[in-house]
Amino acid sequence: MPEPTCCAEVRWRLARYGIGPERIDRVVSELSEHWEDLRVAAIENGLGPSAAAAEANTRLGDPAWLADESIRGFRQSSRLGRHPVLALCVLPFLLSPLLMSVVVMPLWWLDSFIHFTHWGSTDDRRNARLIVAGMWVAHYAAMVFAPAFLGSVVWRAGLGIRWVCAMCAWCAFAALARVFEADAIDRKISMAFSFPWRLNAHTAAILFLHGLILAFFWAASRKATKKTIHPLGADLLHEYEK
Amino acid sequence: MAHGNPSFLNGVPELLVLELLSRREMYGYELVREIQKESKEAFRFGEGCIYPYLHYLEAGKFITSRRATTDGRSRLYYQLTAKGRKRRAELTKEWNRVAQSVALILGGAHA
Repeated sequence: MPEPTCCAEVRWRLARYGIGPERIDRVVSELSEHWEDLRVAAIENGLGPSAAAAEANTRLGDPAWLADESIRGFRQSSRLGRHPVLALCVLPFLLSPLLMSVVVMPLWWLDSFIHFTHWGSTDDRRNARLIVAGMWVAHYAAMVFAPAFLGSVVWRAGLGIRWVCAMCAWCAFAALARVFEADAIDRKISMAFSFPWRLNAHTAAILFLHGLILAFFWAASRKATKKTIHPLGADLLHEYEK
Repeated sequence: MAHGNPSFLNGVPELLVLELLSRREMYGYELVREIQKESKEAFRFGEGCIYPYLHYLEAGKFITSRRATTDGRSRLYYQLTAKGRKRRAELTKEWNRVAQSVALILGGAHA
C-alpha cells in the first residue's frame, strides 16, 4: 500500500528525533492502514477520491501533532524517557566506576591471590607494570563505553540529539572529575573525585574521546536527516532547521 | 489524604482502550469507531493519536499485538493481557471514585 503524504511527513519528523527505523515503520504502517480505512469509509459515504483523501487527512490528525504524540509515547514507555534529568545527573557518575568495579576488581583480587608476598624480582616488577597498564586500559574503555552506551540509550528513547549531546558532555564532566590511580607494587587502587582539573595528557584524552563520540552521534543524526526526504520537498527541512 | 491526587483526566484514554479490549481483540481503526459509537460521538479527536496510547500500553505489557489478515487487508490486532485486566480494574475503581466525588459536589451545588 503506498504511503499517504501525511504519514510520510510523520516518518520524516520521527526520523529527525532519532527514533529507530523499526519503530517508525510500525507507527507509519498503522497510520497508513488507518488512513486507508478512513478514505474507504469517506468514499462509501459518497465523497469523490480527492475529497475522501482530504477527509481522511483531517480525521487522522495533523502530522506534526501525531509525530509529537508518538515521541511523547516513546518517552513515556521507558524510565529514562520519563526521568531524563535524573538519568542525566546520576548515570554518568555511576556507570564508569561500576564497570571498573566489575572488570578490574576480580582481576585485582586474582592477582592478590596468586602473589601472596610483595613484589621482589625484576620479572615481578614487569608483571606489575603490565597489570597497571591493563587497569588503565580498562579505565579508558569504561570511560569511552559510558557516553557511547548512555548516548545510544538516550537516542533510542526518542529524546533527540540535544539530550544526547548533554549526556556526552556530562559524561565528560564526570570523567574529568574522577581521579583513578593504580599501583600494583604497593597493591593500591583508588578512585576519587577532584576539582579543579589540570590540563594534561589525561584531560586532553578525555576531551578528545568524548568529542569523538559526540561527533559520531551528530553525524548519525545528520545522516538520518538526509536519508528521509520530506514528501513535499525541502521547505519543511528549512522550517525544522530554523 | 488516602489517595494521590492526579489530574482528573489522567488515565481516561487508557481506561477506554483497556475496557474495549477486554471485550474482544481489535485493531486501531476499530477501537476508534467503537469509542465514537459507544460515546455517541462525544469524543472528537485526531484519530491517529490512539496509536501512541496502544504502543505505550504494549510497552507496559498491558496489551499484546498480532498481525492478521481480514478481508484481504493486513491488520494489527491488540489483545488484553492478565496485567492489563488488573490495570483496567484499578483504573475503573479510580475513575468511579473520582466520578462519585464530582457527583457529590455537583449534587451539593444543586441541593
